[in-house]
Amino acid sequence: MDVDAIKLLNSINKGQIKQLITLLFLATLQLTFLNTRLFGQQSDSLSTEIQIPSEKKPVQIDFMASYYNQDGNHSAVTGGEGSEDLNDYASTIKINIPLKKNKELRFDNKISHFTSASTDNIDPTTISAASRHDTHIEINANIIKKVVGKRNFDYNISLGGANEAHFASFNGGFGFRKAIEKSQSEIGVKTHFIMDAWGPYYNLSRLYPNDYYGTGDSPQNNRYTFQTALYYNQIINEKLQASITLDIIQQFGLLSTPYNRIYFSDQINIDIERLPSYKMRIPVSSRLNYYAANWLIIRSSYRFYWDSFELKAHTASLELPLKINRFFSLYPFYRYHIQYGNKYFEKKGDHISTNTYYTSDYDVSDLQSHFIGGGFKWIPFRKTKKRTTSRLNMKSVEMRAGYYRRNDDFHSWIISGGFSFNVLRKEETGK
Amino acid sequence: MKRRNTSKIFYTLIFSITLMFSSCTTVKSYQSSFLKDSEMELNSRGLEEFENGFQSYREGAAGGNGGNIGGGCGCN
Repeated sequence: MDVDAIKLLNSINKGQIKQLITLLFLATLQLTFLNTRLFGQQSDSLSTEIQIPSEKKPVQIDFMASYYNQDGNHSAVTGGEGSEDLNDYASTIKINIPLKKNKELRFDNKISHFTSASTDNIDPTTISAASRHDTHIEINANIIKKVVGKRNFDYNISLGGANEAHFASFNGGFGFRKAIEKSQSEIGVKTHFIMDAWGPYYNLSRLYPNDYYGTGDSPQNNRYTFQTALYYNQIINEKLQASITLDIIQQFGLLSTPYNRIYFSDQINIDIERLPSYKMRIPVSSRLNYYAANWLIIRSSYRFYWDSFELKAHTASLELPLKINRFFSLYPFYRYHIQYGNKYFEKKGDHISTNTYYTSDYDVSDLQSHFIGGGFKWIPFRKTKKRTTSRLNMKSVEMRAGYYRRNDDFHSWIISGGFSFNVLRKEETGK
Repeated sequence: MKRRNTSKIFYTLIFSITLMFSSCTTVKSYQSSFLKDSEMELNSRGLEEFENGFQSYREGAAGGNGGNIGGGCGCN
């Protein structure tokens, strides 16, 4: 670990971190003690992200696609001023395959093609550069094993990778989950590792702006991310359930973006964005879902975020699914985000050249944002009494759209849709 | 924008959540129909992953929602 990281670790208010960890630990102890006193009857397992694997269960396929458009006037590529116009077309396909011996195999593949006015300006001498558009391809595989019986827990192993023209990534992870039936709760832990490389196929200097005349002085072009996540889900009563998630994320290596420009107040020559080579992020989030009435459900969430670049943020969201009938629901949603920007941010032309670290990326400045929109979910239902001979059954169709706006006039909108269906095994169709 | 005392807000929320969790009751199988509704799932919707993606790029905060944690992309 380099000198920057050591100094940073020493300067972090360890008292506050210890208080946070102590508080969460005491909360967990309290919950465990209180809930083990409730010697209730056996209850069903909580609804969770991971399906119970079984070779008789159907294969599930989810397909989703989205279109995203944004614009603003604070492009980091041009030092904090300039067009942020960008269009992104993305699609994802996910396949869950139940295997024998309580195992399940999951694949997901995402392709995203984007055109960007800002990355076009990496080379200011051309009207349109090769960096104007790029394609992000991502593939992940996950194998899940369920241990049944008295121990009753799941664990999973994941591997994956991603690629862009100027970027490549590899990731892997391990997760563990256990349902506690007596207390009607669930605990889980996940560790994840990501290794990223800027300019993996050529020298990093090719990513620098063409009007930058320095040497970069970057000893490496890699970025390493380590995540440990803890979560706790709890049924509170027959209409209310909640969860808490704590992430501890550490990043090492090249944490700045090599083609973001920096302009100074005391010199003409530009520099590239420079940030410390170590960063710790701690988001803590909670969710609360309440079945208010047969026609209304309240879904809420809150997240507190802190990182070692001194950025703090609060994010809250509210969603109100209105159940028109058993198979169709409409939902409006609203999300509010406020952040107090990191200590290295200054506007274009306000940086001092003698500083060691600087950024003019408005994404890490003081800002507030609002995101509002709505969607619907439809679950097709067959009314026929005849046993189906079709192996393909539509499970759900969903669409949503939203408008996002920041207080610096950055705005965007997104529309996305998807459907999922089951592919039944031959035994279930009778064929 | 003035920096507010975020510690008080944060610890108040943690304490409130702890109190709320302490009032749990046992839910029998025949009473759990509301909890099994698809809209009551505690994880985010599948379509939200696209939104989590652009929000993590356009804001300094990431993680805590099962989405992007700051790596795996050509972004900060």
